[in-house]
Amino acid sequence: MTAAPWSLSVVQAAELIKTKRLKPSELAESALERYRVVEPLVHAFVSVDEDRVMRDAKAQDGHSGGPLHGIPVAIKDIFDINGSKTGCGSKAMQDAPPATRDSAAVARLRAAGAIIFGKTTTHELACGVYTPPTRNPWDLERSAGGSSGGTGASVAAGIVAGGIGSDTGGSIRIPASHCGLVGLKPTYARISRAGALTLSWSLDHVGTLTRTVADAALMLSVLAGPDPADPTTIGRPPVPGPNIPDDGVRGMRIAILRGSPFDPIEDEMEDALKSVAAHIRAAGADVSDATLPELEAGLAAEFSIVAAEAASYHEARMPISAALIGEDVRGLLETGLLLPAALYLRAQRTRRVIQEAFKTLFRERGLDAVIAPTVPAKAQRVDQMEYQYDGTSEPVITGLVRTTAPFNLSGLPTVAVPSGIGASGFPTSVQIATRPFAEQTALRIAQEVQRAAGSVFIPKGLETALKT
Amino acid sequence: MNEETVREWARMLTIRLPEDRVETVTAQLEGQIAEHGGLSPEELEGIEPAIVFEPEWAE
Repeated sequence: MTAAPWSLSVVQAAELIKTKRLKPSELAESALERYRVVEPLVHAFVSVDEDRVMRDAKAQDGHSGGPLHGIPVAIKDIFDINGSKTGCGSKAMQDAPPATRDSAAVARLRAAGAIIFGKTTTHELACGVYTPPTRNPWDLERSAGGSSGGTGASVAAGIVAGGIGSDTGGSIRIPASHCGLVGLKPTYARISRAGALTLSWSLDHVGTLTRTVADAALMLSVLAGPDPADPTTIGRPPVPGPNIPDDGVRGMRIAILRGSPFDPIEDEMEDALKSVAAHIRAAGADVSDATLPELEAGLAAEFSIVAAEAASYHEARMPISAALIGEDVRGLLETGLLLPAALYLRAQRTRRVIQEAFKTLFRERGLDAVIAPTVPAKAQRVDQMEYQYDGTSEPVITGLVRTTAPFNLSGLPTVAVPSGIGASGFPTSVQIATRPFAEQTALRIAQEVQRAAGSVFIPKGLETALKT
Repeated sequence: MNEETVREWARMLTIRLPEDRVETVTAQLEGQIAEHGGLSPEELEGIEPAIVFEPEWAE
């Protein structure tokens, strides 16, 4: 083996460990070495217990185990880990006692043999798109996105090969796009939310950030499944297997979503979308354009639902801790507490319209998937508040959420996958959404996109910084 | 929507809203209401809310 263990994908490392060509402790030691070198630059982690990581890894040496045996994974700091405080990126949670049990997702990862490497940063209360103080490995002056920015930066920087996050309005797919990663937001209720901080009960999705599509499939196969502690997960279709059928996209019917809310968009993101459409057409898919005017109302519905549900979830905390919460999130929570019920219901009815619009589009066209730009622009600078397009501008958060929220509102499984490197030198990304619980179809198409794009990208900013 | 209304709503709902937050919350609430939460009541005629969100598509 010539590659440094930290640089291996989840699937590669799991195979080497399974065939006794790599010890879990060797992989853990390599990951910790990488962590010590790059963490001072990217600030992806809230906490890493190095002794615990090595102890857990050595305990696995010489044994066989589950599909993630000996694989270090990163956990967004909104998921409970037994014995650790769940900080949620907020001073309001600073006095929280340590969790007394693992969240469902962490328990499933452990049961599959994964090593819990550490807790990663989150934008405060999983509600935002910057995730300070984390920096983007592609350019240390830019944001890794959010709210799962810590997991995104940790995977892109090569500290771990995979990790988990949550996605309420793009919080997995935005870091995936910004950091050149695969971000999987499965169908709503595919992965248990038990033991994780809630931002919005009806919009929160648990998912993964990885460097490859195959890794996303493997992690999903471990994480998905029914959990009595999260009743929404009960009675769902069978959990997808760990492997993606290598059948390509021949014969698939795929629509490229155009118009609002996917406009305006930076030229290089538009070019990337066109390239993806051309590639999958050449690979045998029937590709057409589609518009869904109903999605234009999605952003307002998203913000109303999140404000009302997040405010309700945090209501008991607000009188005590409001002053400890950052201005952007505090304003949302306070507004949510006063939001008229009629407005919340209007938003949930708008959501139904959006869900029906997707269903009708898929059925009338016989579609297997729709593809859209993941976000309209490359990663924002850490102090950048506005995106500029030809003649227009918008707040960064509006730009990033308007393209991602439709898939939270619909609950459809959605994979963000790197589609190449844009003219500015940053990764581009498209998101692929399929019918409910058809994650394998989305991953198959993503695999084809990844094949064309050239697989894994090395963040230039981090490598440059390490050389100087 | 104005600051007096926000103060009164907060009082009636027993929500503690410090005076120095009233201006901000009024502006944000005004913005949210202006956006209608998505579509207009006329456009939503006959539509049930997704209260219990169900991702599967009933046949």
